[in-house]
Amino acid sequence: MSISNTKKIQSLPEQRPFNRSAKATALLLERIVLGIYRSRQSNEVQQLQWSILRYLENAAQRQKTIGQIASYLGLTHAPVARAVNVLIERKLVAKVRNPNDGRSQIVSLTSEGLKILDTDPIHGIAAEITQLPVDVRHLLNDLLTDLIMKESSETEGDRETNSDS
Amino acid sequence: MKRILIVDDEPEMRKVIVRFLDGDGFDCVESGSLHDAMEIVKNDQKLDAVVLDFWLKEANALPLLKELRANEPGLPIVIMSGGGPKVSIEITHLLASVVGKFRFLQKPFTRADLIEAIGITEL
Repeated sequence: MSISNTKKIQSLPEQRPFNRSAKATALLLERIVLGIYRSRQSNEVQQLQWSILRYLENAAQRQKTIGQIASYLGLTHAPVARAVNVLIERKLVAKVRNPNDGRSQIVSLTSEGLKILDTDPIHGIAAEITQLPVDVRHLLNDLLTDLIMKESSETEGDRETNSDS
Repeated sequence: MKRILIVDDEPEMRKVIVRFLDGDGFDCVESGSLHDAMEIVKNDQKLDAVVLDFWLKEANALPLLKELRANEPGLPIVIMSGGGPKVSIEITHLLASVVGKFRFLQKPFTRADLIEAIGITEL
């Protein structure tokens, strides 16, 4: 790589709508999230499968169809159906006929499914957050809520630039 | 008779909910905005529960939820949502859960779902 090329690459961040510190913070958030689901072995419960198990733990009985799960998670039917099939193979959930609609089936947690929820990897970080002082916890809640809200309302055209790096 | 505040900016949706609840001995009070809902909560001491849509046209319900939890910690609240702008129902549920413990209803729901949610709201 020539010196002139190196200079060109180093000058790029100045044009980006964030500073280095913000990028570092974002990367730390990414590291935390990736660290939660460390296991990549096929016999472990995967992220989407955890989301489904958590949903089934709390949803009303009538809302435990694959369609409702997909709608809740903001996904299409196919990936949710595939994930549910894997959970059925692992005996963590079971399908039963929907008493309110003969055409659909309800997905229910088995006793094994209930048991594995005790080992939900998100519990570790939830416990860490619980240990934070109350005011710091509230601040963290507010910051993450603001980030999600901003993300939801942001469009490509209205991103602000901040090039103080 | 339970007195329920229904907060939704869609009149048709409020009508459906009132129809769901009227037959079961609930007394329904309606509000189409967060501001009006706050006024009702402040002035109506006889409310037994609040049923509200999270994503209203004017804003999301987070400010109202925070105020309700701060000033009316014992008031049962049922949040309903079909998701928001670029936000899944799951994220909506999580946003509300950060503020406190609520019963969450995913749209569309049945009359039985609503009755169940009001009946088993935990605090």
